[in-house]
Amino acid sequence: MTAVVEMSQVGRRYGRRWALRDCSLSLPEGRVIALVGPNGAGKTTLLNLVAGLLRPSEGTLLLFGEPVRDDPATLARIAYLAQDTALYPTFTVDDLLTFGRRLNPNWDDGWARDRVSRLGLPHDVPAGRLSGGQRAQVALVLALAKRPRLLVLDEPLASLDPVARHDVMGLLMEAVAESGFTVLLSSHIISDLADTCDWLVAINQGRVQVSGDISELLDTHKLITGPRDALDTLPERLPVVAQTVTGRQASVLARLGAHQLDPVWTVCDVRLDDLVLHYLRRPEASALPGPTAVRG
Amino acid sequence: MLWLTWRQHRWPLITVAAILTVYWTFLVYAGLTGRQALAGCPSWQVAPDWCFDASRSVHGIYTRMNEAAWYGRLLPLVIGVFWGAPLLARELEQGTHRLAFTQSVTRRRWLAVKIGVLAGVAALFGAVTGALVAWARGQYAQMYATRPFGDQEFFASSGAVIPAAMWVAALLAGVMIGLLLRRTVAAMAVTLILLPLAAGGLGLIRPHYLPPVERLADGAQMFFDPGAPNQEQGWVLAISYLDPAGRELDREAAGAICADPSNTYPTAECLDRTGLRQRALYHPADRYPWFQLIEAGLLLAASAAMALTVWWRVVHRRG
Repeated sequence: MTAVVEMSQVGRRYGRRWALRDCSLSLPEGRVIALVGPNGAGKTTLLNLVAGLLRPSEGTLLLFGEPVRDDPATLARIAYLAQDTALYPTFTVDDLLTFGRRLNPNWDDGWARDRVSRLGLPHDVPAGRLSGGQRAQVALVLALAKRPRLLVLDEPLASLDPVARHDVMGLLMEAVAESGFTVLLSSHIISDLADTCDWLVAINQGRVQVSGDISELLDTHKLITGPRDALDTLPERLPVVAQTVTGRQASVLARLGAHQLDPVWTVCDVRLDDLVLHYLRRPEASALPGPTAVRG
Repeated sequence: MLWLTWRQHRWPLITVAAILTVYWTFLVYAGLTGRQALAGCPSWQVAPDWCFDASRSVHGIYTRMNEAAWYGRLLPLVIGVFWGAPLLARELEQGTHRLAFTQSVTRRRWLAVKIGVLAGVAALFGAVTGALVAWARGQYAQMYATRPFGDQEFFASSGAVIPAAMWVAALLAGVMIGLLLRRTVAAMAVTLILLPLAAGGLGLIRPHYLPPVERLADGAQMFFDPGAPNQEQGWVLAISYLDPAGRELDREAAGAICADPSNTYPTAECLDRTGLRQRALYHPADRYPWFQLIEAGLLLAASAAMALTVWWRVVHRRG
C-alpha cells in the first residue's frame, strides 16, 4: 500500500514559534482524510507543507514516495483549495476555466464546463462578486478538473451556509466516487466530516495526536463506566485517554483493544466527535498506529 | 502563462501604450517641426539672423516639447508603481499565490514569464522613448542647449540605452518592494517615494563615473562662462581662473580684474589682455557613450541584484 503522504519528524517554525513540531505521519492512498484540531493547532501549516507552499524547517516530507519538488509532474498531482478560497477577484468563471486549462496539461475542460453549467454558476460575473458558496464551488471545480491524485482542502466549509456546505460536499463526494483520488481536508467542525471521511488525523498544539482509520478508531476506543472503587481493577497497561470521576461513578475513555475487563464495568461505543473532543482536551494523549509494513 | 500574464496585466500595459502613443506622436511632430524650421542653421554663436527668427517661430513647440519630455521622465516611475509593485504584492495580499503556485506551472516559469514579458516590454518602450527624445531634442541643438551630456534633467531620458535599463530597473524595484511589503497600496507608495530618491542619487554620483579632465585654456579655447554645463566640448563641472601668479580666482574675482564695463564676467578678450587663464574641470564630449554605458551598467547590475533577490525568495519557498 503506497502512502500518499509520509512525514517524518517534520517541523515548521515562523521566527521562534514552532507551528508544527516532530510530526510523523503516514497517510494511505485513496482515502478521504479528515484533519481536525483547534484553531491555531497547525492544520493550515501542515496542509501548506503537503501542498508544497511551504518548506519544512526540519524533518522530511514525501509525497507519493518522492520529496516535494517544484516541477510540473509533482505539481500536476496535487490540487489545493486555500482557506477563504483564493480566486482572482476580477476573473470571471470563464476566465478561471481558461486559467486552469492553460496552466494544467491534465485539465479536463469538458468536465469542468459541464460541471459549471450543471451547478448553475454564472459565466461572466467576476469572482469577487460571487457568493461564498459559488466561490467555493468554482474553486473546487478548478481543483478537480486538474485530475489530481491528491486534493488538499483547507477548511473548505468554514464560511459557508448549510446549503452551500451540502452542495460543496456533494460535489466533492461525487468526484471522489468517480475517480477515487485521495482527499485531505481540514475542519474545526467535526460533524461536517463524520459522514464523509474514513481516516482521521488530529493535531493539537503543533503535534499529531491521532492518525488512524475511523472505523478502527471507533472499534478500539470504548467508554467504560463503573464504580470508582473498581478503578484499581483496570488492567495496568490499558491505554487511557481520559478519565472522569463524578461522585461514586468513574468513566474512562480507553483504547480497549483485546484487554479483558472485570464484569463490573460497562462498555459503550463512542461517537467520533466525542472521541476527538477527548483527545483535543488532553494534548498529551496520542493514538498513532504502530509501524507500518516496510515497502519493498 | 503568456495568456495569464496578459490577462493579469493588460490594463497597465494598455494604459502605458496609450500614453506612449500620444507622447511619441508629439515628439515626432516636435522633432520634424524643429528640423524643418532650423534646417541649415549652424551653431547659434555664428548663426545668421534668419536662424534666430526661425528659432523664435518654433520656440513654442520647443518649450512644449521640453515640458512633455520633463514629464516623460516620470514614465519609469509609472512602470515601477503600476507594473512592478502590484505584481507580487497583489498576489500575496489576495492569497492568489496559493492558487497560482498549485497549478502545474513551476514557480520558476511563472516568475520568469511574468517578469520576462514585462521587463522586455519595458525595455523596448523605454528604448524607443529615449531614442525619440534624443532625436526630437537633437533637432533643436544648434539654437538651443539641448545636448544631453551634462544636462542633469535629460541625461537619463535621452538615447535608447539608459532609458531601457532604467525602466527595467524601476520595474524590478517595484516587484521587489511588493514582495517585501506584501501589500499592494503600501508597495506602490513606497516605490513612488524610493524611485525618485534613487534617481536623484544616481544624478549625484554621475559626475564621478570617470575622473574629470582638467584643462587650462586661454581666450581662444575657453568655455563660455557662465554657461550651461552641457557645452559642445563636453560636460563642464567647474570653472575657475588662474592669474599670472598662479592664484586661483572664482569668476567674480576674475571679472573684477577684467574691469570690463560691458561684461561682468571674463571674456576671451579679457583673458588675452590680462593673462588670466581659465581652469576647467570637465568631461570631454567623446565620453558621452561611456557615461551612458556606465550608467546603464549600474542600472542593470541593480536590476540583476533585485531579480536574484526576488527569484531566491519566491522559488525557494522561504515564505
